Amino acid sequence: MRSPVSLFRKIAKLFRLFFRAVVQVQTVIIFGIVYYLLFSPLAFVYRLLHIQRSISSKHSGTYWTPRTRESDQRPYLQF
Amino acid sequence: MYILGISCFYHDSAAVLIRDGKLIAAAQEERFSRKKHDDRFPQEAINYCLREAGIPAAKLDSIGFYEKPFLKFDRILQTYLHTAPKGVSSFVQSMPLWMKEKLWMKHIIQRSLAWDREVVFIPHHLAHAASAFLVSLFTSAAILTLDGVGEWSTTTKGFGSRNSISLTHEIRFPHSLGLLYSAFTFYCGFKVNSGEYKLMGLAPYGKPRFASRIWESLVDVKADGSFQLNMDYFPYEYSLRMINKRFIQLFGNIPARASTDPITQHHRDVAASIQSVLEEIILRLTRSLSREVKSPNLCMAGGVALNCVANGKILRESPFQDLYVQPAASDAGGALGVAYYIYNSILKHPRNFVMEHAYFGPHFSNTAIESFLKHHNVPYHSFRSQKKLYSTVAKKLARQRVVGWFQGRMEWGPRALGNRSILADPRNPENQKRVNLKIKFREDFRPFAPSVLEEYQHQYFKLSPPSPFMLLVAQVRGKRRSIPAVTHVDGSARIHSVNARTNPSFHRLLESFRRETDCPVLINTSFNVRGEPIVCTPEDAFRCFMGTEMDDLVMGNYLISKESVNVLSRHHRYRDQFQLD
Repeated sequence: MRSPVSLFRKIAKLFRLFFRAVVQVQTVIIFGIVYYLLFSPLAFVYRLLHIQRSISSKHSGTYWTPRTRESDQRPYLQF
Repeated sequence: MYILGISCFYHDSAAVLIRDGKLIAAAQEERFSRKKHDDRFPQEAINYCLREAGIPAAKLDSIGFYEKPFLKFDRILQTYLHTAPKGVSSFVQSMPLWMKEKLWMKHIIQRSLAWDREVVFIPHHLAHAASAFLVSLFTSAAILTLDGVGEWSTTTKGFGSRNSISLTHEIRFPHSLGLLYSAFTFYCGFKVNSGEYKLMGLAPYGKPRFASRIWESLVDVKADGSFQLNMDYFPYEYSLRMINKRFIQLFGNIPARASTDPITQHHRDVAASIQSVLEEIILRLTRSLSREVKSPNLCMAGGVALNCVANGKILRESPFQDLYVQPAASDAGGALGVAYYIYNSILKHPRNFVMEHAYFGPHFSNTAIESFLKHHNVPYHSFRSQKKLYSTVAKKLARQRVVGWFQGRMEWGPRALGNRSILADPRNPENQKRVNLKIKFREDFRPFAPSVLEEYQHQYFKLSPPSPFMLLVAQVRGKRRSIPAVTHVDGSARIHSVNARTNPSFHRLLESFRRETDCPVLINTSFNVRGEPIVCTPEDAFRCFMGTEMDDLVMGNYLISKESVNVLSRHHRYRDQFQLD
């Protein structure tokens, strides 16, 4: 006969799996909403600006771009 | 002064500890967690580093991280803005990870190490550059870093002089040589960020008949080697896929190979084509860099610098006379780079260390090995005389036995360099198939590397400088018929040169084998099976030995023969424990 402890563990594990799935679905829905309602309109504006910029930028004989040095004002932080 | 360098959360997380500029310990997390390319926070690797130095975390003077998470996040957000609404699935998958941990890097480090001071963050490619230049023997050198992507940069160039580094130019995401190569890795049925070296190994079996198509449609390269990809063929900006339908159409509508499908001549030709394009781009980059930086030396880093075929070509065909690539050139090496950048460039201490070998991982004493063997009732033969041990093992190798070789400190980086290696006789052509299929359980086309006594290297290979990190490919000389098991189909080999100063134990074994057979070369492949990280402990080594058809295992002064071990204790289907790479 199974002990009540092992039965309880099994039920707890099932609950954990169930809630993990619920949390994952919730995350997908929330981030999906953020993406479509916030990101996509922002992206439209961003791309309009970007098109303006790319029209004015020209490539010479190279694709190298000068690199900005590690800033002395905010050195070695996360950003 | 103790400095800890950390890299993690992309692939190959690692930790490195230096004391007063000398490298004390360096290891990748995968060796401890036994999960290949483990990208989680390298807690066990950090614990090992601190143990090796015998200090608690509180004694550290500085901690550095190998990239700037907020700049990387900026790139990711801008890319999503640029490509919306196509990137929803990738967005939904990646954002929770960023919110949950990647943006909290500083706090994760501070919490894990009970550290209340600042953490130093340096740009990803600066960490790569530092990992190569600051531990090289060059006082000044040109620097080229090439990888998938860091924050924004995918490729940078510049120069190093004494203890300062200046990266002057960059090529930015999404235009990336690393990602271009990974796209083809995916197309040929190998795992991205893992199977790139298989693509390189496959290339010599094919003809580069698609190279012109790649030049015409996929990549635009200027005379100075700078490049842009045609993003109409690559959806990786907004999705988790590397290639799209248009890419497949470009290659005759033949779909991407599934990992279990057979490899056809089409895939071999595609591999040969992208390898030739990559080599040509890198050659153009190095030629133009040598005109800008008046130095005969080149330091390279980033995942693409592990392409040893291209490295060999740089040595032969570029104006640079000397090339240095440190053994963990990909992201793991970032941990090394940030530690040395803090010590040499930020704190301005003079350079006092050259990385001449890769043996910076855990070490197990004879006492520890014997106690493991006794505890598991493993019958073994103990050798008091090292000379006797080497000559016995050499005789076994000459009798075509395959030997697991576990000695000294574990290697830093993806290559086994004679301390965690599987060894066999290179003169027997059958050994390539045997070791591939029955011991490594991997694809039969994959070549093995030769370990050669440094003093005999020039007799066997067309390569002058030593190759201690197995990062240079060169042609085998006329003697190639004598070592067929390590000679690739195009007559090349990925050379590991062994010298007595940096690895006396392995050198003596090779010398014993030479005396026995007149051949100073051995097959050297990493001590693991396909999909498994290289073994770290005696227990890992013994498990791998029992799960494969290796004949003998040598750990420290102890020899274990398969015949003497109880067959019941064998780990059947050992390889099934590891996800195929």
